[in-house]
Amino acid sequence: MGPADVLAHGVGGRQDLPLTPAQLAVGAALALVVSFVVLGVAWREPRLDPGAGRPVPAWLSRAAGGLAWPLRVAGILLAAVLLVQFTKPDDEHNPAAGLVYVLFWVGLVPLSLLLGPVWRRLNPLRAIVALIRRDGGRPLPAGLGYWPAAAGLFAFAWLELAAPDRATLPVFGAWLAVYAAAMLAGGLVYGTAWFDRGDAFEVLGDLVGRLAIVGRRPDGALVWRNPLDGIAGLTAAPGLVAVLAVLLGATFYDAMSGALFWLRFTQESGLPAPVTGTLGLLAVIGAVAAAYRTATRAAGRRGRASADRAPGELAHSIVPIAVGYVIAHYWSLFVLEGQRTVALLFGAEDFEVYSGIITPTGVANLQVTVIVLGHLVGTVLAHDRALRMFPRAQAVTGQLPLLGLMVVYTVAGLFLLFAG
Amino acid sequence: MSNARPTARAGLVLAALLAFAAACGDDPSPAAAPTTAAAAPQTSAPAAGPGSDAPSTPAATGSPVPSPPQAVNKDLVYTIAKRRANPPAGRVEVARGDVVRITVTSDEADQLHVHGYNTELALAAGQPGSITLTADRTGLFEVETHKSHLVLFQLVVR
Repeated sequence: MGPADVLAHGVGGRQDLPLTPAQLAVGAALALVVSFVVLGVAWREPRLDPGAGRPVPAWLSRAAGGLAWPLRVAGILLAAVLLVQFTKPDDEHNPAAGLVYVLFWVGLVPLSLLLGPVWRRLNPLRAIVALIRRDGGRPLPAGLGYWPAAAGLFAFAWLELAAPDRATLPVFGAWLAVYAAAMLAGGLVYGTAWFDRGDAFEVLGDLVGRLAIVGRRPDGALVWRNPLDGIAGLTAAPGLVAVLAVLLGATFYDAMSGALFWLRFTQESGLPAPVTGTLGLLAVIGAVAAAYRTATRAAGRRGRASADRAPGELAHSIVPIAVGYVIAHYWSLFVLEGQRTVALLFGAEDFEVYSGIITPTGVANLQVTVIVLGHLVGTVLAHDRALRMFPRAQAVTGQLPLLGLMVVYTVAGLFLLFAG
Repeated sequence: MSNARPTARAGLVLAALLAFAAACGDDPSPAAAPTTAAAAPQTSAPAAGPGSDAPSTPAATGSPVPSPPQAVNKDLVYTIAKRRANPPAGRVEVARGDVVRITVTSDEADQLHVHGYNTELALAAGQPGSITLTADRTGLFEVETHKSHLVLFQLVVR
């Protein structure tokens, strides 16, 4: 019962209360207002500059440089802590599932949002490759792009949301072993550059980390910067849209799996849960990707720019929407199960989770706020990029499909929190 | 600094929206408000006890060990026949602190599980079994059977 309870849907036996109809309506109305405010009052010349930023004090820059080895060692120690759990009994007192699904997977987003892409500094697999493969390896094939990361991200989402017995040590242990082997193989062939776009978790950390207030300018300087400038530096590459579709789609599916309509549908179907889970996950990711492709291509055409290039050029604007939704969906789980995991790690099995800050209205307010905030940032990013891509006369018309897309994503996300 | 002005403006818009969101968030549907108010003082009672080594309060008891008679606020009765539950899956809303009794009769031996409350009950074929629990944690919890993998209902505790 323990492991099953850790992972009722994704993670955690408890799910958040559904939004009330009033909260749903307020969130949806805000999303609409935000869209038209941005279109109406935001700047008329492109402003965002990925090269912007004010260098941090010299001592801080030096300290960050000196952390390279300590962080690598810390990453290897964290991996060792996880491995030790596999020697313990597979029961509800084993913190391994919480370590993987809550502290690592969910925690990666807030960690990167605060400190930038630090997982690449901690990643033990990258550290191993850096030690063995000192010559750098072969150059990556041009067409590969982010596709390995998209595949890895989907594989993890499938493990978390659809795999049978996914909270048991043998299942996620086997997954992690296969994943590590694949990443090491990629690293041994292509050197550490493989991880930049091949490792799902490093890619996620990099995408989210671009929204941090601290980051590296293209010239390598560590700077304080406007997060909008940071994320605007994300350049189109093969597979980038797929990574974002998987991230957003998987989180939508996780919310949907708790909805009554989905529950009834799956129980009526009589199919085994892993089958309906896999199909549902694929369907939602497919729907997210299809909506994105349709809207961005339409924007490209209406804006008299290239319909083929538009999806890649606008991909960065989906990052804040996905981040907002991930935080909204997993916040209470991270707080509650995160505490429990840390307590179990230190052997405090009868630890009472402090749940004072998880109040029903508090969680709902936070959910609506971060989702609308993600929508606002995404809309501003799409607006600025549209000004760059489209001729002046078409800038507004070209943006309309993008606004429509973002309103659809945001309202769909809120609806799933209402229904699920 | 050509960037300063629009950034400041975006910041202003953002601040205004957040204030709006916060203001709206404070008055949800009128029905929800009293429940929340009632739940607030209770939050601290069981949770805040860093010094007190209160034994982990048994939130639920299976039928074999009846706790002192409690007033049951919500009495739920389900039957499972041929891997179908009756009534079909739905949501049951209760207020925090309510006492909920779940009685299930299954045509085959099974295990009843209330997620989040970590309560389990072995069901013998054809014999009604019941769980009584105090809904002292807010959230949404699925009540399901482990062998037939049926979600009987979602318990919504506000």
